[in-house]
Amino acid sequence: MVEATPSKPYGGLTSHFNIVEANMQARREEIKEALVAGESLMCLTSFPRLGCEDFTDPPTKPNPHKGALCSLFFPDEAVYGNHPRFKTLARNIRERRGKKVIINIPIYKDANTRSPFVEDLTSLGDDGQGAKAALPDHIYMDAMGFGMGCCCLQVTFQACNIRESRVLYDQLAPICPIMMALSAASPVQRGYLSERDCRWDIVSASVDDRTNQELGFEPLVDDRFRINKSRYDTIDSYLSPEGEKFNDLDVVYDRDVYQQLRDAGIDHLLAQHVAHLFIRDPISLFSEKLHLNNEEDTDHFENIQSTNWQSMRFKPPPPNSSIGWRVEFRPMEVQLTEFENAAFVVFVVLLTRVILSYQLNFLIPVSKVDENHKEAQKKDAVRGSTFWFRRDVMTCDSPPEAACMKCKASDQSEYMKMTINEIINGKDSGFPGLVPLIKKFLSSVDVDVDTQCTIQQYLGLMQRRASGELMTTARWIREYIHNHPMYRQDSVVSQQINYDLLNTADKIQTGDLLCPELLGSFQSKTKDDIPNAIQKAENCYDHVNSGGQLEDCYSHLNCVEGES
Amino acid sequence: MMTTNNMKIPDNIEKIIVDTGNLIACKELRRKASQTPRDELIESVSNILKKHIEVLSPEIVQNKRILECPDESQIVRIGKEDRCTLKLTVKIFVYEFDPVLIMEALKKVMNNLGVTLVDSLILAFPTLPAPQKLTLLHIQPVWKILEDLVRNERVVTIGVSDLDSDQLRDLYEWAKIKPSVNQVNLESCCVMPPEMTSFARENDIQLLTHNDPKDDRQKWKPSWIVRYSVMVKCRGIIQNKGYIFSAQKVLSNIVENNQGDH
Repeated sequence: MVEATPSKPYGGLTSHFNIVEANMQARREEIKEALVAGESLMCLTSFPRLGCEDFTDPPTKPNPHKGALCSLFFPDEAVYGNHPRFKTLARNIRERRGKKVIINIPIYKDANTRSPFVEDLTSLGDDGQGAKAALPDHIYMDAMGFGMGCCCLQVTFQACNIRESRVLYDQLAPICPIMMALSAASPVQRGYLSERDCRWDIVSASVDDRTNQELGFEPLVDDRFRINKSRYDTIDSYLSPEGEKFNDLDVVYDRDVYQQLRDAGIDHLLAQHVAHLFIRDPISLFSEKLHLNNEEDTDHFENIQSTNWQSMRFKPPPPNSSIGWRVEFRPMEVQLTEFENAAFVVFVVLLTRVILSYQLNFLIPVSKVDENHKEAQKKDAVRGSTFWFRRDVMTCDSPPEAACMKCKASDQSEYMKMTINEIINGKDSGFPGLVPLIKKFLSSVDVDVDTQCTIQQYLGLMQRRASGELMTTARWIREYIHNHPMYRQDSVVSQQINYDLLNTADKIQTGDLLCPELLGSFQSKTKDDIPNAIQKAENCYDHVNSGGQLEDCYSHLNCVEGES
Repeated sequence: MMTTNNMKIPDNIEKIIVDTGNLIACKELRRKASQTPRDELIESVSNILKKHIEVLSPEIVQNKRILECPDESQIVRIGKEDRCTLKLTVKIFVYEFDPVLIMEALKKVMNNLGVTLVDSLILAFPTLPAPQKLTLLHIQPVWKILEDLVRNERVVTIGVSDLDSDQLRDLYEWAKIKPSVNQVNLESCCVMPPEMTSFARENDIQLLTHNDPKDDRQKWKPSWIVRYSVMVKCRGIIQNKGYIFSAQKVLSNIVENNQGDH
């Protein structure tokens, strides 16, 4: 599993939207150079036969009795070994909670699926722990690798100041489940078709280090808190003043940390947020990073911050850096092709520009966002589910002060259930839809023709995925399996089926095979860099507006001076 | 384009100038996001005009030929401190090849926004009655005005809208200060003629999309329309967007107008 990022942030011109896909393609090319014949780089949210017999090459065997994972299914050798982080995390999580992680995902019950679906784990070396943990009619998994071996698509935004970063963090939180449902791409786990199309709950359970006391199964004696969520899960509270009245969850936080921050002048919401991060123990630590000068080094904070894996991440700048306040959007599943991944990224980024330009408001109670998050993972949520969504997103009439009053979650006048299609494409009566809002924005800003073409193609993909006209990746995978001649309607994805599935997906990614039911017939005009003309003009505007001479721009603009 | 049948515009008024103000501000956006730019223009101009006329006392405009709304006092200007972080694009739609009208339009928008410099000025030419076609001869007198604006440091870059490859090349080769932009209709962004894209690339001309409606005249003949937009640079956020609309009363319609008002 490889993570790739651009080497520097994309710029702030609309033309920069056109280079995302090319950048992703460049990353693929770079990785491909390290591959040998017969190997392929695939963007899959979950590898369908992860944890099945001989899923590695060369083949390896899991060891339930010793090592970092002690898993019935996942060998230690399949964990990246050139950095201590992963095996250490796996071991520490397992040791902290006192037993292996327990992941149970409902299996898809097909005509011939064993009912009840119960596996014989003793043949894999189970000492009884597995049998006790596995639920009937569920796909049981017992290692961090099942979750953190999944892939996803994350986007980080620069905010111009702390206030804007808090606004963006809040406004994007209700969008998380919507984008997860749209990007659903992981219907198969450990070789079985599941009732879920998304990875979220699997990853959440795979790094859940809560003890029985913290889980509430035993009374609190040695542990400090009863904790409601895994350290990988959705956010518990909004950070902006406008969001405060929608914080209707019981936020567990460290009171000493909270008070320390309050005494230093940090406001309640931010202090509570950080104090909530700090209810977790460190689960991976270098000995040389233990004793630090906390006046100069933020590594202790980053340690806890980076092992709180939430749907949104609020990222303060490190000391002595001009990097600024950032917000990370983390829920999306990764798609097969660069076109799709770029489309999802550009869609979300454009949405943030629209939110800030038009001062839109998507806030609903946090508990409702969590309900949406559960709903979004269901099989075919994009077509079959409805989601709580704010009725009127243009509400900057009410001043922020009015938002300070507590709002009960039962006050349903502000939000209602909508389908993904309605949210993305709009409803005739009232709700404009996210794509029409973005298109309105795009007709009001300067966009060069290639970038506009690319963005219109991306929006077309989003529109048609939302309406169900095009399949989600999850749906495409399911249908492929259902239609495979060797599939026996028993939810089993055999080696042969998996091999054929991945070969087909590979050909779609390279363009050797067309898949209009997944991708439509869209084609972007992505390029490695922004047009020269745009860069020159922008340099000119900057130059003149910061006091430079207009004459300096003449040669840049191919002007000919001389006769008047 | 717009009906004034429901509005009591005093008979002595021969010309109206309407500034819609910042449409990005909330209330205006309660309109459907799918409203066309044409409808947006018509609705915003009509609303402002109507509101203004409702509270207008006839004595004030008794001897005036020009009706302006809003008043000087109601105009919100761009703060000087903010100006260097912003990019101001102004597109002037003229209905005659008349340099005077261009200058009038530009002066009005710069005054109303409180700026002394426009970053990007785009000129949209009138549609000529068929079978006439727009040629360099039409463009030359007005382009010279734009070149002077650059020389006088009122405008950083000048550009055009909806020129085809030949028109663009002719203008580019003749002009002393070259067009920096040719705007093209958004509908054509994926099917740009290769001749246009390669000429633009070779000569560093920005090809930018627009979604503006085509020319359309009725009772009040537009003299000019300005569309302005203000972007916060490096954050990619729209701060301000509006229209200024100036129309001349069409003489043959005066009688009709009087009858309508009674």
